[in-house]
Formats: sequence, structure tokens, C-alpha cells
Amino acid sequence: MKKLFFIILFSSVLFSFNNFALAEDHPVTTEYSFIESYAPFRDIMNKELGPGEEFAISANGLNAYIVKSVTVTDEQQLINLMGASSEANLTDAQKGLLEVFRFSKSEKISQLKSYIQPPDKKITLQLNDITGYEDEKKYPTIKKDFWPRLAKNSTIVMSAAPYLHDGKNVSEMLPKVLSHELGHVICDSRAEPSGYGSDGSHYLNEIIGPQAAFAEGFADFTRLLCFPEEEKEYRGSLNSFLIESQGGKYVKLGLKELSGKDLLNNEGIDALILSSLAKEIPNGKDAIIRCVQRNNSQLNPIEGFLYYFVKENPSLKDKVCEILKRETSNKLSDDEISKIFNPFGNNTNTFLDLTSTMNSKPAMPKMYQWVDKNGEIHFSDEPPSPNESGVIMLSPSPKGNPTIATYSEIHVDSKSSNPFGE
Amino acid sequence: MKRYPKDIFLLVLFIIFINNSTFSASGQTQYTLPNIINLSLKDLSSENSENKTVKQLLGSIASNLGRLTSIAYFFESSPDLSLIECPQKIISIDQAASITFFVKFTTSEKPPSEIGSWVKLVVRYKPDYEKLLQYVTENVSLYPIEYERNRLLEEIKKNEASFPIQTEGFRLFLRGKNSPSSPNSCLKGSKN
Repeated sequence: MKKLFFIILFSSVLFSFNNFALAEDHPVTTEYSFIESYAPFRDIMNKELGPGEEFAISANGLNAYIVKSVTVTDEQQLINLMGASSEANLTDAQKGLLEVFRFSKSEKISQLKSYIQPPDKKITLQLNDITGYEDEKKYPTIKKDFWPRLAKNSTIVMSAAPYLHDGKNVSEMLPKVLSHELGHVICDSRAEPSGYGSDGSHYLNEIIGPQAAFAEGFADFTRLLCFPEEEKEYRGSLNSFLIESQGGKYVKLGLKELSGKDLLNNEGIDALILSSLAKEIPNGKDAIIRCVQRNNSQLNPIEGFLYYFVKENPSLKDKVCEILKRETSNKLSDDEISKIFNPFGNNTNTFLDLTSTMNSKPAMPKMYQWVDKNGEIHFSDEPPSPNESGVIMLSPSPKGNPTIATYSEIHVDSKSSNPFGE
Repeated sequence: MKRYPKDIFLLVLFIIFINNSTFSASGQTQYTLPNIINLSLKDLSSENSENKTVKQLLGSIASNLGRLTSIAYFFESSPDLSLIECPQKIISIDQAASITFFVKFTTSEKPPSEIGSWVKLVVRYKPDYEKLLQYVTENVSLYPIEYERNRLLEEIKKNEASFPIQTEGFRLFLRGKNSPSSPNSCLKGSKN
């Protein structure tokens, strides 16, 4: 009987300890931020800042905001700060911010936060309320200025900017955005300069710089971990891809126009590779995140991650190859896959050197796309005649800068920047 | 509060701007819906007004796209203000039309909220979904990427079918001790 008592006691202590370990949470400070003033830059610069206030410059650099932030302690305080006596009286956008606050306290987010390194890293969740400033005629850069992102000092900037006038959808979507931004905090990878193209933005199906694709792909992966039901939508959106020209125009390309290596420069494909690895390998999620963190140089493309992953888990090489082939629609050749896992040959370079080497090599033979005088689109490995208009060169320059995205050197003729007429 | 000479201040802000741009990992891009409704509140009370305990505000609701129907509205305010007079009931607003109204609040001895003294107009309405679909479908130059455009159209249809009523708001911060100024009063001829 005494023995049984001690077993129960021991189990209880162990259970409590486990619960304590789970309950121990990464410190996140939540701030409610609202716009106090907006004016041309020259006018606002004379204002004195009070407690909790700071300047925020608009994306065009012409105007500026004074934004005030207050630390959020609980739900009811947040509701009151947003100017409502109860949740029912909040606007749709404000309900979205409330859902973000709730989701930040959820078990799903707690699990993700447990991966953040170092464990005492200070993270700020900034809930920006742009109520009253939604009119883009008066505030032309409002969406861009408050678009969700990971800013410096591990500040996750959240607002309803992507879902304004979108009714209840705001509350459904904003927590998903938080799970993406938290992925950036965990991975800490950086996009290369111009990695997002000239418009600085990225769509799920856009071909972007290798490092940008991996950074965003990892963040999409953490979103899929929290919302696995979204995988179907991801796959549905990856039937065609976008390539941004220097003028910020987008060209749509199908799978047949892209190589396997091009597909690796898409965040959606990178996310699906990571997601499949997490599902099909025992303790896959943990192995992926720990591998990213152990080997993160902030400059890795997905090839860099895969190299280190197989190096750490050699017995999984066949499985990784299988997933890699499948998620890139069997477009990667055996030779290309082999080079991912044995990139240095007999050399003993570091993977940082490899990143430069990979970026400087053309991903596929030089191809040209153009529109003739009759408006027909042509694909060819031969350049068009000088009289043709709308020439879009699909291949990167062989002398490409190693830190520049593969597709940053696409040239689009101004006469016909979008031959697909979309 | 530390203040900088003009040139140094500009330099500091420029460095902050560059720094922010470099370190930001922007969230995924997607198409957004056009502005459907415009709301505003303006404080008509002046420093010289005789009755300092009454605040008179001018409010407006305008349709930016199509006919807004099933309109319901209400006001909230910080604890130091109480509503004493509000506008007549509004049912619908036609395309490009707007209505303006006066609202009166009295000030009390209660302290303002943690972030100052404010009045908030909250409007529930049904957007003109037909016009919204038409706008996104026809404005191909605004929504050039087919997949993204279709995603937005699906979103509009989903909203219409599931939750047709939307809620938007406008909050006016009243000037005073510890109170920020209103959005409109600070907008001094932006050149954008």
C-alpha cells in the first residue's frame, strides 16, 4: 500500500512538473497601438512626443504618424482600449485584433514559442488599430505602413490592413498571419537584398530570391503547423507561378515553363517540402526546427537547409529525396538533387560559399519570352528579332550578383509588360 | 522629452526609416477590398463656447461603393462623456451619397479613459455585394493577377452568403489634457 502511495505521489509530481514545463511560456509583451496624428513630415516633426508615443514614417517618406502604444494585460482591457464596452461593440477589424490576442495565448502558439532562441528573447506583439484611417484617398499608404510584418527588435506588427472591409473574415485570417510572423522569429532567416523584387512584396505563388523563398517558406510552414487545413489551398494556388519584372509587373508562368530549381525559389513549394517532411518523418517538426536553428546562417536557401538536414539525419536521405522530387513535380534531376546533398564535391567549403555559387549559376538554359506584332506569345531559346516588342528574358544573367535574387534581372519591355493581359 | 535640431532630427528619422525597411520581413501580399464606407466625426465645440460641459460633434456616413442597406449605428465614449442627443435612424445610403448629423455629449466629473477622451461611431451595414463583385471583376488594372482576383471574388461571395452585415467605426479623440488630437484635425493638406 505504501509502495502504491509513493508511485501515485511520484506520478503526480512528474505530471505537475510536465504541466509546469508546458505552462512555462516565452515572454511576449502585447501592445495596443493607435494612431494619434498623421500629417506631412515637415509638420509632424515639430510635435513633442509624450509617454508611449513614437514617430512612424509613411512608406512614401512624405508623411508621418504619431503612434501611441499601451501595454495590454487582459482581454477586457484590450476591448476597452479599442473603445468598446463589450466584444459585441467592436468593429470587424478590432475583433480581428482581439482574436490575435487570444490566439497568442493559445496552446498552438505556446508550442511554437517554445522553439524561440534564446529562450529569454524579448518579443513584442504590436496590435495596431487603424480605425478611422482606412480611407486610402486620405491616407494613401495606410495599408503598406501597417501591413503585418516582423520588424526590428522582434516586434511582430499586426493590423487588419490586409482584410479591411472584409467582415468576419478578419477574425478568421489574422491569427493565421500571426502564426506566419512567429515563424520569422523562430527561423531568423533573412531575405537577400532585392529578394522580394522591386515592389518589396511577395505572393504565395511568386518566384522570389532563394533566401527570401526559404525565409517566407519557413514562416508559411509554421502557419501550416497551426492551420494544417490550409495545405489544400496552398496546393491549389501553386498550379501557376508569378514572376515580377523590374517594373513591378507580374508575369504568370505554368509549371512547364519553370525548372525544378526555379520552383525551390517559391515560398509555397518550400513550405510544402517542410510540411511533408514534418508529417512523414518521425518527430519531423522538431527535427526540422532544431536543424534550422542549429545551422541558421540567416542566409540559407532551402538547399542549405536540406543539406544540413540530411547531414544530421543520413538515414532519412531517401525519404527527403522522395519528398523533394514530389513537391517539385519531378522537375529536379538526379544530378541536381545529388548536388544539394553533396554540394562541395571534394572541396571543403562552407555552405555560405555554396550559397554564392548557387546564386551565380543560371538555373536553366537561357530562354526568351516575347509578344509579336499580332499579340502572340512566344517561348524560345533563340532571342527574338530586334523588331519584336515585349521581350521578357526568362533566364538570369550568368554574371549575377550572388546576393541578388535569381529573377531580379528579368527585363520587360515597357510596350507590353504583361503579355497575358491579366 | 528630448528634442533634436531640425537637421539632426531629419537624419535620425531617415536612419530609423532605413533601419525599419531593412529589418522588416513583410507579410504575404494579397489583394484587398476597396473602401466601401467612409465615416467621420468632427468636434464643433470651440474654446470660446459658453457651455463647456456640452460637446457637439458633426458626424457623417458616406457610401463609397454601391448602396449601403440595413444600416444601424451607435456611439461609445470614454467614461468622462455621456451621449445626450443622437441622429435619426438611417436605413440606407445610396451610391456616392452621404448623410451628416449632429451628436451631443456632456462632460462629467469622471476621468477619461487610459488613452484619453474620445467618442466612437460604430456602423453596422450591408455592403452592396453586387457592386463590389462588379468593381473587382471590372477593375483588372487594379487586380491584374487572375488567381488573386478570383480569391477576392470568392471572399466577397463567402461574406455575402455567411455574414452579410459588416461593422466599421470611427473614433474621434477630443483635445484636452492627456488626449490625443483627432485624425482629421491633424491632417494638414497631405500632398499624396
